[in-house]
Amino acid sequence: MATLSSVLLCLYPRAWRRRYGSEMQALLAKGNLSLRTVADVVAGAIDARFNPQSTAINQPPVSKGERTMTNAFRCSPAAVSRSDQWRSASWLVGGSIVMTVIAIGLQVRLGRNSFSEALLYGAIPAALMLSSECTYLKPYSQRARIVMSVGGAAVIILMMWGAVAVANLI
Amino acid sequence: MRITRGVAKRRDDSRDELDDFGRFSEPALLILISLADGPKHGYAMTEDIGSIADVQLGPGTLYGAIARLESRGLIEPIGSEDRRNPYRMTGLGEKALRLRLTTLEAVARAGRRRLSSAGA
Repeated sequence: MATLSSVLLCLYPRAWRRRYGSEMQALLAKGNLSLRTVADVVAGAIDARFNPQSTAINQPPVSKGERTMTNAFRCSPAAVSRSDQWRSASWLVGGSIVMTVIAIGLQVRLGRNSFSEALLYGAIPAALMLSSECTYLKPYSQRARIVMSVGGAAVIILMMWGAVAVANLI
Repeated sequence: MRITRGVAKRRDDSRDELDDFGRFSEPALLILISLADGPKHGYAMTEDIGSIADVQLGPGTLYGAIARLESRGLIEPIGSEDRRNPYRMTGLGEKALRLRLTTLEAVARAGRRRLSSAGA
């Protein structure tokens, strides 16, 4: 029976087997492998090939002690994969650098002005807001993620601009 | 008509969560109901669903629904040392379950009312 269940699991894509294979095998070992169960597993394998649930199957099987950001600190929601965490870090570092370079460029070209100063001060917090698009905001729809991350970053820069403008007046 | 409009509105609210699950919609709902009283692994879920709904979910259907729920952040795995990985419902999953149950309750109420008015 163990052989038959292993053969059946081979019908699933490799990424799927890596994620759910051992769990499914444990479940198959518990029950009797009837014709109905075999048909269900085959139908499931066809579905997994045509509709791979990429977010879930790209995550490695979770085990105790695994040092991911999600498990170690509980600071990001479920379904945040390692690639999401790398993407988020890239947004943070890349966004900060790009905004800083733009701010310096504006200061060189236009001289000292409140907007470029605000962009310089707000680069890291705004980039942090952009980086949340693929971590904290992941459960939301794509449109909501864009509005919240880009809108949030824009609000941070505008608030900084206002604060710098007021400070320059005083 | 008023009830139908209410149901349609609630369906719009929850459309992103369970409505695009296709044939996995009902198994996904049963999994969420099963996880509502605490984390369970696959076998415990099938046993629980069998007892509450008299439905025997096959492994292919169960894990097809689990993958969909997990990819949408409605459930999440808990670390485990053996190969039977338990899952728990997330806050988003609880919200989706509440919305779906509210819709089902409204539909059931409308159905009962129509049956009783047809019988009168």
